[in-house]
Amino acid sequence: MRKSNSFKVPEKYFENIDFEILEKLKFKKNVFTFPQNYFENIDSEKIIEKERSRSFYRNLLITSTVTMCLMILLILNTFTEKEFVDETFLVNDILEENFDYMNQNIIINRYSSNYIYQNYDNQIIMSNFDSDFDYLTID
Amino acid sequence: MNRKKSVQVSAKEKELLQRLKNSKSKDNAFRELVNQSKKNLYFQIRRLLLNHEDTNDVLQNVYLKIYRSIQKFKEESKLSTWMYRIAYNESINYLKSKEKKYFFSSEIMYNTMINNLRQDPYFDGDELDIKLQGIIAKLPPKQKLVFQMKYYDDLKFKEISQIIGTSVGALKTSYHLAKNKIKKEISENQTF
Repeated sequence: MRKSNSFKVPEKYFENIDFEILEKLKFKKNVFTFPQNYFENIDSEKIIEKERSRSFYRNLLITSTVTMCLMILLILNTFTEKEFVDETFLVNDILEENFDYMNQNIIINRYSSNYIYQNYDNQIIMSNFDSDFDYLTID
Repeated sequence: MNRKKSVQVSAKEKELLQRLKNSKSKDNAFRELVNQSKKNLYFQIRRLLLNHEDTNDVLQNVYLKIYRSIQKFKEESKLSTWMYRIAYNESINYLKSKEKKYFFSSEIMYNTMINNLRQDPYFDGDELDIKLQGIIAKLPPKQKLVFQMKYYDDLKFKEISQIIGTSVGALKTSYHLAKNKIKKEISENQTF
């Protein structure tokens, strides 16, 4: 029988040829470069500092959140104080009687943006410059 | 019974770990760890992200995580394996967040990453290298990772298995599939 090919190849040549292609590429596997002195400039101190400042800001955030919550609670608590309710009602009553605001559904409280509320030693002044009256004084 | 897995760790690594877990010596030991591992970790991340800037960001995060969680390291694997795993997870999360941020599909994102290599001042390859990176990037995640760890880092299957958490048998199959795909695509598209 005649040989189909008279050229000889090394043993397992064809089995390994694909692998050689990869091996050939392997010589160029360091294709990724980086800025000069990059590795020298990787500073563990910076990483440690970053972690410490992160912890600091995390603690700061926790502290400020707790403080905010406490302030909100304090404000809510102050808002419902008896003295304040009394004063507001008092002002409302006087306004209604003296200035005939019965039909205008006025809501007055010390946080109202319509009124400037001041309390000087039990003398309450509520001013509204857009209304007919300039201020109201209650002793 | 819950038995702690034992790994053979060199005396030097044991000593470094002890110092890392001790608050007094932690910073010095961490400095040593960074110096020892920065190049390996950098290139491991870089092969997944391809771009230097992204790699630098992720590397910083990886070291932050290592510093923060070294106390939780259970020593069931080598320290390098544990760090490798953190780097891998951080890189994958980074890619996922990039996909979400820019509403990319994985394929578009990888194509963009590969195309960017042509203008990347920190890429020193020719078209053939870009082609290889393109083929690797498009491999399924596990195949890609196994191939990179085996081909570039010469890691043992056992080590890869600890990093990815897959059996050695499955990894061998993945590697074989990845190698065949790469060979096929290179042979089809390239003449040497």
